[in-house]
Amino acid sequence: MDIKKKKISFNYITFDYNSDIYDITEEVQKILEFAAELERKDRKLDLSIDKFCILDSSETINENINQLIFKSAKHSYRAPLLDRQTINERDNPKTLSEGETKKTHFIVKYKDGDALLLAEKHRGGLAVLEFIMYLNSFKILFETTHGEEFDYKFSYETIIKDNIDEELEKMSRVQSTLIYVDKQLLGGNALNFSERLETVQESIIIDIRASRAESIKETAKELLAKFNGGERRVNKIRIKGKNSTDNDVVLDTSYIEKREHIDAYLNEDTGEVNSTFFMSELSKIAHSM
Amino acid sequence: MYLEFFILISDYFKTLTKRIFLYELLIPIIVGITTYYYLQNGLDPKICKKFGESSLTLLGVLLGFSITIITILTTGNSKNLVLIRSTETEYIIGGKKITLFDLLIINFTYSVVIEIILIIVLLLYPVFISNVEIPLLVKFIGFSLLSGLVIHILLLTMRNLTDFYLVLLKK
Repeated sequence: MDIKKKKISFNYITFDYNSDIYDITEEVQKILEFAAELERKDRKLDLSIDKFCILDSSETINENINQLIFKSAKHSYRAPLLDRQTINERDNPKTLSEGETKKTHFIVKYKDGDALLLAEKHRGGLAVLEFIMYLNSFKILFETTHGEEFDYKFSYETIIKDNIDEELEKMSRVQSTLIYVDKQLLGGNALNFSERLETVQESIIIDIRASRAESIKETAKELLAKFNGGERRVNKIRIKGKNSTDNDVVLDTSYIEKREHIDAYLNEDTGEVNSTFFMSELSKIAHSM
Repeated sequence: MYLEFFILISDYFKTLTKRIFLYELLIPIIVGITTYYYLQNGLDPKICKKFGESSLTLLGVLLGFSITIITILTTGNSKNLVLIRSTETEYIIGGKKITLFDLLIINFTYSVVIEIILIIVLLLYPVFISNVEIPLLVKFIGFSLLSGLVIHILLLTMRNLTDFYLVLLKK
């Protein structure tokens, strides 16, 4: 079996607005469950004039991990086939409404009020933006079906895990910095040993936000330097802002060590990725978070 | 001359954090300064004598109590008392991180040493002042220091007991 290195991206599914009113984990789960329960042909979404996708399978593991496989295809193109060996051409047997299936693997992990999306980077497959389009589209269908209305729109933030210092330097604006501090900040050694404060969440989060149209880039740089300098009490830092192309980005120090490549086994006949193995590897990464 | 107990006092100060400093040292310093102020403004010497006598009794009780806790800590084999011997703290003494067990022993033993020093002072003080002419200012400072140290020991005992309670309480 051939092996191919597949890159994965780390993202947060977020709300474009009204994030204080709705719970992201509840809403994502609700829409995905709704889509998964529909008849197969009702799960289809036209992404563009020549591309469509379908949620092929959805499986929930441990109540907080959704394993999703999407299949997408580009249609309206059936040029003749050219053989590499014989250099002969023959008519393409597929119809105009057909296209080669591209499988894309996703995992959504719900943790600490966040919906983390691990996505297989697959050229021709489903991009994260298209996944979000799918969610938004089926959210509208959910509203129509259930006669309800939700005032939000799904969006996403890509987590940059490499060269955080360089990426922070390139950011045009830093909107907020979340510092996750060890709860030991609260007590002494005996108190921490006794675990009396177990009900307090694992980390205390200090949220530093820029005022409207301002940037706290220098503050973020100082905090990152402290973290890199091994400041004991800081578990991680999450910096949100805009990059040079005005896209939302998140720099998260806890992802620095996370591997972003999976060795995928390919089907010898079709060249498709073996989903069982790929999903189990992706799940391992998700579990480690 | 035997002065090794200064190592213990030094170890105690190495484990002080800002919070503990405020609680265990700053408050006694404030009490000491306040006592000095009242002494300067005519505090009845009988009150000072009474305080000295009560402190002697109190320190004797605290001494016994602290030694008992040290015995329990060193000989106890309950799950938690065993666990603290391998639970590391962030304090470094002698180039190594000390355990929670070490920290409790340092604090309890330090309190025993200070209690003994105070008992010696309180026992010898009446003998000393009846035979030596001591300026009033020195007496005032001495008594202020004494009152501050007694409060320091009481606060330390409270902290030690609370830590001991939390250690025993862990499920």
